[in-house]
Amino acid sequence: MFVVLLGLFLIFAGSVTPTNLLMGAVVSGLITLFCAKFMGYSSRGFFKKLSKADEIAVYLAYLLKEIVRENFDVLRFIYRKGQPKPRLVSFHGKVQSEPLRVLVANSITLTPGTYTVRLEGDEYAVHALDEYFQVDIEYSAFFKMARKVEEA
Amino acid sequence: MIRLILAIPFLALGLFMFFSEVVGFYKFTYVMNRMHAAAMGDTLGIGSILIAVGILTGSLSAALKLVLILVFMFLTGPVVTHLIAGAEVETHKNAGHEYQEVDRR
Repeated sequence: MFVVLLGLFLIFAGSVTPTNLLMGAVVSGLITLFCAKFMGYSSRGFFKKLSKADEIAVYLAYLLKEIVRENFDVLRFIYRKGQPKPRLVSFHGKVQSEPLRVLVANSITLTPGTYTVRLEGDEYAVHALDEYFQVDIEYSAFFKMARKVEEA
Repeated sequence: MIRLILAIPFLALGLFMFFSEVVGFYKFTYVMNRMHAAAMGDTLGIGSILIAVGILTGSLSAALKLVLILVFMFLTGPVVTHLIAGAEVETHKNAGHEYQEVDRR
C-alpha cells in the first residue's frame, strides 16, 4: 500500500525530485500507518491480492476488449432502423466473493449494451439493450474469470 | 507533427462515439435504453479522447494523470448507472412494459 500511495503522490506531483520523494514517503507512511491502526489494513492481505495480479491483469485486458467490441455492437443498434427489444435478465452469478461479485457487476455495466440493475447476494438483474446482448450472459467470460481468480 | 498524426484517429473515434451517443440518446425512447447509448461516451468516447490528449501532450506524467482520470471514470460510472437504473425500476410502476423480464434463476 505504501508503494502504491507513493506512486500516486509522485504522479500527482508531476516529477521525481528528492523533495517530492521525501514528502511522498512521509505522507504515504502516515496514511499506511493510519489504515493499519484504525481500518484493519494488513500488508499480508495486500500481498495475497498481489499474488493474483496476473489473473486480474488478464481479466482487465478482457474487459477492455469487451468494452471496445460492445461499443461497436451498440452503434449498430443506434444507426439501424427500429427500436431495440430490451430485456431484464435475472440469474445467479455463482461467484462467492463479495468484491468479485461487485467487480463483475461493474464490468457488465462498463460494457455498453448491458448494465447491472440489481445485485443481491449472487443474484444479478441485468438490463440488456436487445436480446442479442442477453444470450448466455451468466456464462460469460467475466464470471468464468472471476471464479478463476477466486480459486487462485 | 507526428504526435498530431498519431492523435487524430483517436480524437476522431472519440468524437464519433460522443456524436453517436447523442444520436442514440434521441433515438431510444426509454430512459433505460438511453443509458446504453450514454455508456458509449463514458467508455470508448472518453477513453479515445484521453489517449489522444496523452499523445498530444507527449509527457509521461501527464499521460499517467490521464490514466488516473480514466480509472476514476471507470470506477464511478457504474455506481451512477446502478443508482439511476435502480431508481427507475423501483419507482416507475409501468417500467415492466418497456422491457421483457427473463427469469433464469
